[in-house]
Amino acid sequence: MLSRISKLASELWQDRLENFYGWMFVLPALIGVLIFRAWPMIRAFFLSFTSYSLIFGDANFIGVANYVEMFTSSRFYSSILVTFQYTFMRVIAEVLLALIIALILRKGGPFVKAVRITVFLPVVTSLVAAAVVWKLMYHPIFGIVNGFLNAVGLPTQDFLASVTQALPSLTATVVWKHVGFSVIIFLSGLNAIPRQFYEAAEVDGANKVQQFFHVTLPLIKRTLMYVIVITTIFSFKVLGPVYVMTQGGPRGATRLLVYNIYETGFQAMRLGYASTLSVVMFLILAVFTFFQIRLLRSEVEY
Amino acid sequence: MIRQKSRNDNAFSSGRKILFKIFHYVVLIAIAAIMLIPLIWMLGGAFRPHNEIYQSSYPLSWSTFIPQKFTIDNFTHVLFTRNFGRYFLNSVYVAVAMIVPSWYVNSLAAYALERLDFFGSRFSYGLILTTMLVPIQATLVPTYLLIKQLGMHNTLWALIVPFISEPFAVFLLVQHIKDIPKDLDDAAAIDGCGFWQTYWKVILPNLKRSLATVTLMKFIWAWNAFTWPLIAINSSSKWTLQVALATLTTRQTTNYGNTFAGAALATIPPLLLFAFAQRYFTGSTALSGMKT
Repeated sequence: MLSRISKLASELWQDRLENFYGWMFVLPALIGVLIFRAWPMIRAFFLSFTSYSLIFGDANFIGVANYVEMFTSSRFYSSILVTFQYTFMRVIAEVLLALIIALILRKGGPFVKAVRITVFLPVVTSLVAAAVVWKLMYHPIFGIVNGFLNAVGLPTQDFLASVTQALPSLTATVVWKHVGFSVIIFLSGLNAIPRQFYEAAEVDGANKVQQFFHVTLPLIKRTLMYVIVITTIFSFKVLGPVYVMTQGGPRGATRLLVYNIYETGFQAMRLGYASTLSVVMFLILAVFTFFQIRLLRSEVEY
Repeated sequence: MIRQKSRNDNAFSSGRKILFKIFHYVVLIAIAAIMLIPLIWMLGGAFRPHNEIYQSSYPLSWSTFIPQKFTIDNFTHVLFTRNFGRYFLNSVYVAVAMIVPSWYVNSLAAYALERLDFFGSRFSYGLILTTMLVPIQATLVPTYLLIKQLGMHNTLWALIVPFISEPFAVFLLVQHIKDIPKDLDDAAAIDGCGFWQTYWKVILPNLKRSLATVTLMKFIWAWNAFTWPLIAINSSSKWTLQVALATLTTRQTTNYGNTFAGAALATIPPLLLFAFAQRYFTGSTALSGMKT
């Protein structure tokens, strides 16, 4: 009888010990994450209703005045428009190119392996360094992009100085840098397709093109959607190239939403209004991130 | 038009096959060229005097990329006169100071969440993973205020502390711990190890592979990070390499040689790391799709 009690007691003690240790071990990570990720997001919501300005130092509750200002600001709408244009261009370019490159790089062989490495190299380089180099590459006189164009007989372009060409030029740089990342994801998706499917299709008399449309494409649909979603999410986050290459110009042609936030919050020092913009950005991103998580879960199961 | 190369297609004559093969190689080379040319131009330019870069840029030829007058003056200028040596060290310091504690903080949490059964463990795990949803670009302003209030504003700590605990790392490590057989835990318990001891003797040594992956990814992320360091730091002496490069290039880009040297410094370490540790990359990036 006594031994049963003491056994129970020691089990309870074990449980409490496990509880204690569990919490102690998880606390540093949990606290870090709560303080530096969760809390700021909450605070951003609150800040968006104030007129906090670092220059004037006061934080008055001004209700929805910031939101009103934002929804009536042409600069806000133009930055949303620019962001969507940019995202649209980038996602289409990057996804198509990545898929094509992945298809080309699918088989092995030492040469292909080497090319695979070169495709992934830009991903690892720093965005700032890439932006710097491409900025010089786009130079109207000394840049090698115009050098190449002239060499094949095309006229010199303005690129970053032109209102119509600045955004596509920026997009090209980012796609160059990031396409390797998407290629890797496509490669792993392509490699997950079992050989038998292709063999069966060949037995049925399908040629290469038909195999692509009837075997490959349907089976990488999930991967395709995943790449589209994460590339979209990434598009909202790029500040470096804008800062280095165009600073939002010329005439706002490259003022992305995230750059607008930077300008408002850290150049004009209007933290309250910048928080309002941040909230909007967060909401837009939340929609896409929701899809990302759903796709990620289903992909892992698949 | 780019098409997939055909393999055993008997419908094609061997002449056509050879044509495809050549086409295939041409395309491969073109891809590699497009990826590499900017980097090659940068590297070549870093080692030449800047008027040579100007002169050789038009018309386009081999000399655009290959230095005629090899010089390291750009590097010495940038490292010493422009203080890039200092910025380089700042970047190294931030990366290392962020990574080493993160090994312990994240793996300890992963161990507790996966192996220990404590009240609220599932909720905590969910909470940690949910914070992955928060984009840092949306929290720049409040985090900046937070840093100010914590007194970390304009110190390198502001670049280090917020990133030591990393939800994605916790996720990866939890997955890895799942593969560590529980018998090891039990054996350690029999030998008299408590939870702390088990962590050190059983879990930590077995996590090396995942920790290596996490370290690589974190280092490259920390090294290339730009937006947050730009905002959190005011004094130029505390700039990291990326911030320095960006700020100095926006102001004036008259000397291409120096700019290329700075860019080379900013981008070579991750490249080298990648070259030596490729195999760690291809597996995990496919699953993550997180930071870039």
